Amino acid sequence: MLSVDEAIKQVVAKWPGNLAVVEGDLRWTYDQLAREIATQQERLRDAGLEAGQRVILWLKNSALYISSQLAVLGLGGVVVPIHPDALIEEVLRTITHVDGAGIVTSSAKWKTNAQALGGSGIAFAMLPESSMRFRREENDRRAPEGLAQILFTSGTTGTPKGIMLSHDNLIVNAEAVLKCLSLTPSDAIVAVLPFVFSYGNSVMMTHLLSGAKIIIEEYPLYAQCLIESMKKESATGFSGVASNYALLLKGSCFRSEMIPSLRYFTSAGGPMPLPLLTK
Amino acid sequence: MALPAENVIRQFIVDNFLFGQDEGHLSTRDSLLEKGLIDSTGILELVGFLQSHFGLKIEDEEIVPSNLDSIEKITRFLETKRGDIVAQR
Repeated sequence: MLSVDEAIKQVVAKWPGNLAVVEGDLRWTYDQLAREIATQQERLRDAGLEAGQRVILWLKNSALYISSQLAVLGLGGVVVPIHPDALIEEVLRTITHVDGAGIVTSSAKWKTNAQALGGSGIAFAMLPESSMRFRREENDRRAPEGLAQILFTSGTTGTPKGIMLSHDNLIVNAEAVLKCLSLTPSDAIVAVLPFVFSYGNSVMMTHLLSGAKIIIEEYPLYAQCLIESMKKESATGFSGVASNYALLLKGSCFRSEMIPSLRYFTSAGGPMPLPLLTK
Repeated sequence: MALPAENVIRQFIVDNFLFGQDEGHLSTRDSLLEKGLIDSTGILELVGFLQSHFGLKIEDEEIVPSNLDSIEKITRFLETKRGDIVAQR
């Protein structure tokens, strides 16, 4: 089976000119996405990343999130995403727990937490415009071959647990969803769910592996902003948890102004109350 | 005497999204989304509260970040809404 980065390379070769990621004025084609991944890989290599090491991704949904995740995977690294709203204590706990070798984060988060992160045991921190290296105790602890991500559960039922996902896991999941929804390169979706959640991660992977377009909306929780983005970018699908649907139906004119390009809806992460489903 | 709208809004946010613990960290200009204080359910709760407490009808197209994403923005939005209501009477 192909690894995630090999599968993405195939998509880039097939549809280089298709739009892959839209975020405000930024519009990356698949070709551009491949170049951004290559740039991130060069920076990660310079920072000392080796195959089998774990890299923390502490970013909100963004084009940078996508290129960073794919860059780490392409170098044989393991991505450990942390919710962008997580407190520094949780980030430090995760770094220790997974023996994180480095972190990719925003300049704002770095500015507030530089001291804590610098002393956390990581070897590097990569920001959009710069990178930092730190002294790290040498160790040869490498992840098992084929491991791609460690996703943490929310902790509702106790301490959050790290779920190990292999490249094969991600590819099989993406292929199953892709087949079920008949996704094609002409599909487009506004990313409503955080990529750090398995559902959001799956939405990202399935659309990338279809050669489809992912739109990053700055305010996905505001139905009016979401609908404007969906209209502007001719979204073909919507994926959300029950509260996203409640918001879409209560806080907007969604029903009266249906978006003609929409062809599929998916819901997961919890039960959809019947009255909401009926609406 | 009624509390100024800003205080009422702050109290609601502190009680519902900060579990009653403000400790003076939340400024009137802080983005509720960027601070991670509000999610999709929280926005609906906030709108419901503003409607019932201030006796206003908030239209769907008014539920946007420029009206609701900070204490300052909410206060300004309420002032505009109330001004509109008075003008219509």
